[in-house]
Parts: sequence; C-alpha cells; structure tokens
Amino acid sequence: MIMETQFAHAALPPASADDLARQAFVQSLKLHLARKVVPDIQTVYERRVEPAFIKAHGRPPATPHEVKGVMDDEYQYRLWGSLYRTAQELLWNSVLEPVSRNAEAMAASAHIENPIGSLTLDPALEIPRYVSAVDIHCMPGGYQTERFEGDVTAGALYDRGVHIYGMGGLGARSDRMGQIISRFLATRFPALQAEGRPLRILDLGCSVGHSTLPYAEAFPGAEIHAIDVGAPMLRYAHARAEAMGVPVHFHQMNAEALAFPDDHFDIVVSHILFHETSNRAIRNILKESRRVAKPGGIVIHVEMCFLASLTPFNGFMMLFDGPNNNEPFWETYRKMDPHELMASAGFAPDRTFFQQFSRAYDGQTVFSAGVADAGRGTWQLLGAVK
Amino acid sequence: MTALPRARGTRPVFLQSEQLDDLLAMVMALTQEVAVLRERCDTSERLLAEKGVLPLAEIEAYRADHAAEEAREQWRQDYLDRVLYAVRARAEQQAEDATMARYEQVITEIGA
Repeated sequence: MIMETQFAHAALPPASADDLARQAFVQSLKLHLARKVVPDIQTVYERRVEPAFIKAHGRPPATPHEVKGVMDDEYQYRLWGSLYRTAQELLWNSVLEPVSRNAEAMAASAHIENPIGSLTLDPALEIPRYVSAVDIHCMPGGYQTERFEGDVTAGALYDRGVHIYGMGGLGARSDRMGQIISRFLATRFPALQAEGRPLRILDLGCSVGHSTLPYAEAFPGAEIHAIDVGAPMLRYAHARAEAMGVPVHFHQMNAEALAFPDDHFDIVVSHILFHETSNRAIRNILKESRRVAKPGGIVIHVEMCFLASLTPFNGFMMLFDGPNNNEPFWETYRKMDPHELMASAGFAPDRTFFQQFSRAYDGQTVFSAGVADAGRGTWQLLGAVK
Repeated sequence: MTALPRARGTRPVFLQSEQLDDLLAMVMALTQEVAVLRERCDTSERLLAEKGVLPLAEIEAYRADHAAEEAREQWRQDYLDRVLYAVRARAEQQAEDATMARYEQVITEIGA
C-alpha cells in the first residue's frame, strides 16, 4: 500500500532519486514494524507472558509499568526496539543528506520579497532547557541549531521528516490535526464568526506551521500569528506559508512568556506541544494562553492521549519513546491530570472542556512507536472558554 | 559526503551488547541501500521500456549464454570472497591455532 505523497510546495527540500528511495524504504520499514512486528509482540504477551503473570498474581498486569516489568527482556520487544530506533535514525539520515546538500540554496530562497505574512526573529531569545538538552525525537540539531546565518535546516528536516514519520497519514500537507481542530472550533463555536469580523488567532509551538495553515481556511480573513523558539524552524515556516499562499505572522517567542498584550486573541491553540516541554513550562504556557485570550475567547491545546486511556499493554508500548527516542517529558506528561492542569492555570471548571478525537482517519497515522493501529490512538483536547 | 551530524542524547542498548545493536543497524542501513539500487534498476528498466528501447519482457526473457554465465559466476565468487573475508580469516586463524595469547607472546618477545 502506497502512502499519500507529500504536497510539493516550493520550499520543500529538493531530493535525488536515491534520496527518495532511501526515504521510501524508511517509510516501508516503519509500516512493516507497525503492522507485522508490533502485533507479534502483543501475541507473545497475550499467549505466554500475561497468562504467566495471572498464574503468579491471580490478576493481569494493571499498569504499563507492570507490563514493562515482564516484557522488558522479551526478545521480540528488544529486537523491535533496536529496529525501531534504527528506523528513526535512518529516517533523519535519509532527509539530512539532501537537506544538507541544499542548505545554502534553501536559506537563500527562504528570504521572501514582499511577503503576504511576516517573520519576526528575536536573536536574544533564550532557548529553554527542555528544547536544548537533547535533540527531541532524535532529529539531529533539534529545533534550534543554527548551522549558519539564515539557516533553515531544522525546518526542512522537520517538514520532510514528519511526513515520513507519520507515513503520510497526516495528509499531503501534514495538516490533518489542524484541519480537524479548526473545523471542530468553527462548528462548536459558531458565535466566534457570528459578528462577521475577522478573528485573531495564535498558534503556540508552531514548528513549520503544519497545523497553523488550516486555520486560514476554516476562518476566512483571520489574522493568524504563530510562535516557536527555533529560528531555523520559523524561517522555513515563513517560506513554506508564503509558498503555499497563506498569510501568517511568525514570531520567535517562548510560549511561557508571550510578548502579546492581555485579552488579545479570539482563539489560542497548540498542537502536540505539551509533551515536548516540562512540568513547569506546561503550567506557564497554560497561564499565558489564558492571559492573551480575549474574554469569551477559546483556548485549545491538543495532545496525544494520556496513559490512563490506554490498556496496560498499549501504555507499555507507548512508553517506549520516552527513554528511546529522546522524549524526556513523554511519560511525565502522559501521567498528568488534565482537570488539575486546567484548573491550576485559572480556567473555570465549568468553562473547561475535554474531548478525544480519533486520529485514525485512514488507519495510517502512527504518532508513537508502539501504539500502531487505528482506533486505539486518539488525540486528547484540553479546552476552555475564557 | 561529510559525516552527518547525529542527534544529541544517549543511544539505548536493546540487545545483548552494543555491538549487536550496531550490527543490526548496519544490516538495516545496507538493506536500505539494496532497496535504493533495486529502485534505480527498476527506473532504468521502465524508462527503457517506455522509450521503446528495450521492452521489460525482453529483460525478463533474457538467459545468459555460456560465456556470460561463466563471467557472472566468477563475479559472484569474487564478490563472496570479499564479503565473507572475515569468515575465511577466522578459519585460517583457527587452523593455525593463532590465539590472542600466542600473539601476546609475540608482543612480549619483540618488546623484550
């Protein structure tokens, strides 16, 4: 089965036939692991390991860590882990080669004359430790590394890498999450657009703007702002948005300390940002998102599901990325209590809402290593009306 | 090509040793390169067919004549010699009882 081809916007890094073949191989390898090898691990667990646990304890494992206790040394799991980590490294290598080869030319063409949006960088911005400590999800250089002046490498890597990582399941523009959430907002809160005035929207931790751009379609005429800490990501995001004809104002800013006034935005959103931050940061971000939202404005943070919503076995498989794919906040985030989080940021409980979305629109999207198949995986939305 | 930068962070060990993990990574990287070669070959065949130079069926139906088959066999044997050099080297060592202890003896002798 062939995955959806990535939309060929002008900012996308050029690649040779061999580069593309390497990338296609990684995608095939990941699909093979998800469809064939992960189910084998589950079979080993269900047929042998779980029954032995029940025999010894009179009950099945109740938590992901109890499953880990009996599965961690299983051959199938170990071999899969080694292969999965290798696939992740081959993925970045297969993208890094063409991106590095074209880095200077891409940087030059990312400078846009007469843009319809804008790009505002802040060279003095301090990169937070949770971004700089390790290269998240093993992307060499992370979100922030400046290889030279005007560099867009991180953005180009991320744009192409995410498409391969998601096996095309996020759509040709990797925008399925933004599509779903922006349409949900427009439908659930029709009052937002009732007055007919253009809305002001803010996307936090936007990376290359995959999830940002759909808001322009869902809310015609909206003034869209997007922030991230990584300058190379933002330069690329700006070039990509311009190439796709969507006006967005990109700013280099930390979501924990926004340079926007109080009561400024009709909608404040973030997409899979939280799990790449920290315990302290997540609370600061929630408070800031509340501060900059207008009274009556909507705040929505979308993440992957919490551990509590998974079976112990799937929870165990999902934990893999924390220690093995450079995701230091992965597990801590997934154990947090969404109600407590929202309340601690000052959102009134009766104006707070939680919703799960199936991310498996076509049964393809795999956003964590282990939880492979459709249906089990969901996106978890934390929302509030200010 | 200059060496690609690597992601900062610790590479986990999944199998019985770091060497095994690294070996598996090499096997998968090589498997990837075979896929790249296969795709290039497939592209050539399809372009040749599309341009009417050489229909795919003709490639499929091709059988090497005796001389060509001998040349191929020679190439395969040379190829295996190269790839399996370590297996042959190990066999020689064992036939000569060339243990590390014996070599260390030599080191001591030479250094004395």
